[in-house]
Amino acid sequence: MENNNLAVDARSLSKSFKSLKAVDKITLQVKTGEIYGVIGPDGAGKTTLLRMLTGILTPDSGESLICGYSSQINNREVKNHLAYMSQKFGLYSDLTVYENIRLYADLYGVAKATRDEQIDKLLDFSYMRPFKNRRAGKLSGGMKQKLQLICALIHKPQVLLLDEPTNGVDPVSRRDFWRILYDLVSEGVTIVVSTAYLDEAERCSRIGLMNNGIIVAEGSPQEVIEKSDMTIGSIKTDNNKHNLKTVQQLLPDNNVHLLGDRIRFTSDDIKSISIKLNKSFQGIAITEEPPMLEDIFMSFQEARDNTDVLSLVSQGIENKSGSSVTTKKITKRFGDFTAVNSIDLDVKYGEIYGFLGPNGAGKSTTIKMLCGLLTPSSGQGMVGGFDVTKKPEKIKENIGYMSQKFSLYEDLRIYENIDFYGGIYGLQGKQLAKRRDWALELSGLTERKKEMTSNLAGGWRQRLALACSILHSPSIVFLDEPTSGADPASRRLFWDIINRLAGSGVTVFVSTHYMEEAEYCDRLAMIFRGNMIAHGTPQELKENYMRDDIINIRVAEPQKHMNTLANINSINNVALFGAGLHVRTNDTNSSLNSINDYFTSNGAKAKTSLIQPSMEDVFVSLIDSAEDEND
Amino acid sequence: MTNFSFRRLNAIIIKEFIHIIRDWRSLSLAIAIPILLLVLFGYALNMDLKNIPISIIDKSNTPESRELVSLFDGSPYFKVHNYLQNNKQVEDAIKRREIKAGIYIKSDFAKQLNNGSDIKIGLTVDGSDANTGRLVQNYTQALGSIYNQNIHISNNKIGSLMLKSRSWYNQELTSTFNLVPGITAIVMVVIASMLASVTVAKEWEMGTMEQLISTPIMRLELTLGKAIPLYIIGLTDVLIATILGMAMFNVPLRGEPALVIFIATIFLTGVLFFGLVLSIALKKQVLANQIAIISGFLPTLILSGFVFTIANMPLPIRILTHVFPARYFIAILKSIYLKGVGLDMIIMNFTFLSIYALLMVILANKKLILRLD
Repeated sequence: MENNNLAVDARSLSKSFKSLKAVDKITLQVKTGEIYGVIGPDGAGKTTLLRMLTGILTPDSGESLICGYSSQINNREVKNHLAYMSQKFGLYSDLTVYENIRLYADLYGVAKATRDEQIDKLLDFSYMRPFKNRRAGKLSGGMKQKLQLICALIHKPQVLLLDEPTNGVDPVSRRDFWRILYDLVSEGVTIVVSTAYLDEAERCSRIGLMNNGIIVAEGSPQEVIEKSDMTIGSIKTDNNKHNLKTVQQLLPDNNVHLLGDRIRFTSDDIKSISIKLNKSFQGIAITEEPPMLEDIFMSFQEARDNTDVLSLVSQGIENKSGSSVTTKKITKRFGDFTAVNSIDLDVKYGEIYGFLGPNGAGKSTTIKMLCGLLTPSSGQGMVGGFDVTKKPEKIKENIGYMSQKFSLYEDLRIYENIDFYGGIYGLQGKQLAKRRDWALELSGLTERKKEMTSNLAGGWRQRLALACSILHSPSIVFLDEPTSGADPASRRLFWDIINRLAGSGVTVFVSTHYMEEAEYCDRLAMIFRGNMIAHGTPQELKENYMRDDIINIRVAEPQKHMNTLANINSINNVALFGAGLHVRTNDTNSSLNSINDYFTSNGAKAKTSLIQPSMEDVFVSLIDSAEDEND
Repeated sequence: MTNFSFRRLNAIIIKEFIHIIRDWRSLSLAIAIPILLLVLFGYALNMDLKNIPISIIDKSNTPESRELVSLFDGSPYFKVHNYLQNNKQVEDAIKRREIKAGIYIKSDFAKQLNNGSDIKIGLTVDGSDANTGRLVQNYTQALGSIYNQNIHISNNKIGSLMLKSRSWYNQELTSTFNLVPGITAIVMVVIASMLASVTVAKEWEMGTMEQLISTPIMRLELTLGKAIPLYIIGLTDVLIATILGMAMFNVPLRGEPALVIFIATIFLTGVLFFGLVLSIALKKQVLANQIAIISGFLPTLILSGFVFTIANMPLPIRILTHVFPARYFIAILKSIYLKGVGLDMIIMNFTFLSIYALLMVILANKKLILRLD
């Protein structure tokens, strides 16, 4: 052992798949007790890197040491010291929670005398005790991930390698998951985690930004941001969604995008930007704001000009008006379980309607009923003028649907998949050729069209699936977690497309776990245990459903202060938010005083400010109170 | 290197058992298959054997010829429908579906018999039902030789020819007796192709393998852990087949039951690991399953000597049968069941079977790579 302090020590690891260099001479050192975040666009090589560190994939060259043991030569010893959590759910659906954990305890040789005690401890720690005897297949997405984490932790590994562990997990479960990770780190465990959520990346002690198989930037999130020398400006307009296109045209090279309640852009030269913007927005105030990791992330990617592609989105779409989707007390029961309970909707053409809610709340079931894939148990629904119970086949002709699961054929080439879906929707000859080219362009796969679909990394598959679902220019589109696991660039493109669709009169239903995306919707419905517990515009939700104020705290190592702060009387809830904390309180002044007193007494540098609640705050608060009512 | 761990092996066995038990369709199929096959084959092979209507043309009309006719009439397999005068009448009767066969006894039957020269009996068979036709032919030959043997014994003559006829007789007349060994083999091959061929591939397809290989598990622990639960199911099926065979068709078990279990173990090891090899090498459930059926189940059914007699096959096919372990297994089981022989009598077949099993175990463990590349 050369350096006792290094938990992970990888030297010039390389791996190629045919002509593709997935990982190119990466050198990576992680100190004991660090959380190291591997972030990067789809297909950057994150999974390949983690697999090589684990030793389940052999590198073409280079070596990696875990706790001083070589993953390549002394793989058995490495496996005893580390735990790996694969991206796909790797446990057995037909085994119960307890049986899965026991299997892994036995595989790792956990002392039999203390095995069950250890299992119970971990179950308590992750709030999973009530589900001990439930089959893993019946757990929600968030719980599955926690179960996989427990199985990884059973032998008390020194190093944890996690491959996008919170993919497709709702915000409440994600907070819970990170609370566990922080606790582990405080016990000296080293964590290497890849993630598509950049707010999670901000929580890491260090991050490595990967692109095309190499690490392009490394350091603490703050360092990475500072090193970039980037400046960001933003404006608030009366109708951001409408104005976005104009701003994009005025500032074509500035990565213009919507974020929350404002339009943001990179602003290397604020004066010239101000002049340009004033052409359309007279006297508009540009606010300078610190860059976020997402901005850095975007700057490393080749800017792709999507203007042409986007302009084609609305082609061939009939402009309709009025209600596109209406439901009355639509309900779906599976046996004695009510998945969707009496939901009323009235959605207009041109509206973006968002479904929010924890995993397993009934979002997908509702979408499937509206698409004519599931027959409602009771209630009524009209989609595009057709009854969901009586004319599901008519509905299917007129809508586009992108399911949560990857629904394309892996053994077909990319263009063959497009042709197949085009054929199903009755496209032929020249028309099909035109739409095929358009779909390839839209998904950015024109040059790869002859590749097998199985070769595509996550985000690319989603782009292709989206393109296939709107191939036939439907006027109502259902997207079930379309951006789950996609990188920020893909997500922005998705939302550009969604906005264009809505702009040309298409109704877009979308479910998501990214709370900042919820802000892009015209209206939202919050679904919890089959019930619609809140609905309205993002602003209405924030105003009507948040009784508490939110105090934002920026402090180093926020997890260390959570427990103390939570004990303050006037504070209702403390949660991790990005790299800081959000405190929910109904007595702002008293809480601010107590918080400031606490930080003064312990000497930690902390910045506190009262902020408008974010969508995530609203979400968590709504779920909390709904759970309280239920319990 | 860490050593082989019984704890890990045990963990895999328990997990696999849970998989099997919770997947009640596969489980009930595994139990139902031997019963189904036994009943199906048992009755299908059995029904046409009883009381086949025949006509007799007795040109000899001597005590000797009448004795032969009574042998036919008295056997459970034939029933003399009527006596006719010529072959034309026989053909008409067959066309009218009154009879399945006609037997022509020449006028010099008694004379030739007493001379000790070759006796020829004419047989007309309804060829439209090939199976029954073939059986009638065989039975007639068999009955003929019984009759012949009786003559020989009463004449105190010893002919080596008789022994050959007798083995003929055993093989075809007691086909229900062949049933249990044959079905035992088939059931095991079905389990191997149905369950073993998918078990590893399923883990690759579901993504559970990636998680599993990140633990210190060893190859032998995984392959054995997957084979042992299936082995227990296979053995249960042997038991079911044996007991059902005794109860329904009076198939005797003359040899040592322990020997049956021992041989079944060797055979099961071979076929289960053959299924695992496919599963490991192909990594796709459907593909592995199909290949297992084509290369395991079908040859066992067709080329093992269970349904079709190997001796009757053309030479190239006969050579091919040596590749499939079921051939040896069925041969051994028949010997144990019907003749009650011990290990010493079946050593050749046993050796082949063991070599096959060993090869498969080695191959499965060689092919299994606990890495993603």
